[in-house]
Amino acid sequence: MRNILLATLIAAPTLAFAGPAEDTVAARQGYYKLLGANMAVFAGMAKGDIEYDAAVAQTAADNMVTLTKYNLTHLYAPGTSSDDVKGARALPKIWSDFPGVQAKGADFVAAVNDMDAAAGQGKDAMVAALGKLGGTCKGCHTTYRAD
Amino acid sequence: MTDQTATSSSATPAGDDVTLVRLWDPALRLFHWSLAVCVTGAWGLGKFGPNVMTLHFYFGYAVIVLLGFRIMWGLVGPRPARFASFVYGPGTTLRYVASIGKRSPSYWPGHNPVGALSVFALLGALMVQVGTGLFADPDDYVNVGPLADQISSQGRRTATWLHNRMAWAVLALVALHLSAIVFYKTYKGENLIRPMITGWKHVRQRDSRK
Repeated sequence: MRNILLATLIAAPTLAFAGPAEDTVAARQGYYKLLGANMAVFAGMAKGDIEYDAAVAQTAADNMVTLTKYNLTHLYAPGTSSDDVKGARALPKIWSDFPGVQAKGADFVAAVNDMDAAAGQGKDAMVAALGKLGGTCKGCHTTYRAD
Repeated sequence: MTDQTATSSSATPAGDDVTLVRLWDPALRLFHWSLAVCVTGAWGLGKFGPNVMTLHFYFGYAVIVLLGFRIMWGLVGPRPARFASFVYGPGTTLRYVASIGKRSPSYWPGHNPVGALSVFALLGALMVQVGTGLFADPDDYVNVGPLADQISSQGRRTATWLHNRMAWAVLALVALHLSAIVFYKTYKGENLIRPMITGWKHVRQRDSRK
């Protein structure tokens, strides 16, 4: 009996690893990975690693517009902050400062829409929009993400 | 030891053994003030600047060049600028610490034993800061360190984390540096700013050959 109890205690942290909060964090990070995969298209073209292609850039921008329409509420369920889940980087202050987070989010959405208008209009226009767009990523990371 | 003979010899304020010498060479002074400007610029832009950090990067590159110069100057520059001339043993350092409370100028010919520690700490901290900056990546696809793609994502994250932490260490060391300048000026009556502008400083040569 005592051994079973001990075994359970030892196994508990391992089991907790696959709970719903962890799934939420994984899904949330997946959402940002999708954004990142499209950002990488712009960044690669800006650096010259990928040749600028108006259609490819436009597709990436359209993808990001689609992603901004996604309702993120469930990805920020309570109990999924960097204090709650190992590997999570969303700082607890997100949950105590939703207006602040929403303002950062609105900046991002506006920059994505600007990118959507600029992406197909030549490399210079795309690069200019990328600077602004990347800045809105940083704007939120600096304040609300554990470094 | 304490022969504070305040004999009013012609050009010296505190005795025959104190002379006015050209201590800091022009290149070192230019380095110092350039570093002050570039570190202040990079720091301020890092914390308060626009989210597109192009100018922060340029100030950081300038700091790299300046540190490169300082290391070279520390090896081959004039004597007061050479690292070997301000590496002091624990005995000398502790003796200096014991006398630091005296309300009289140190007349030290160069970086004094405590100031030397501050110099090495600041140069070291800045080297870590520019080094980690080259590999830092805040995941925004814009402000990415030029060497970030050379290392793993975990490495980038560590570099970014350290870069953010070290900024406070640099601030603390600069604050300590400025406090020491104020302390020497107001408490010990020794102006350390003017020598860094004009190069000329009152020093006690007796100490310089230790």
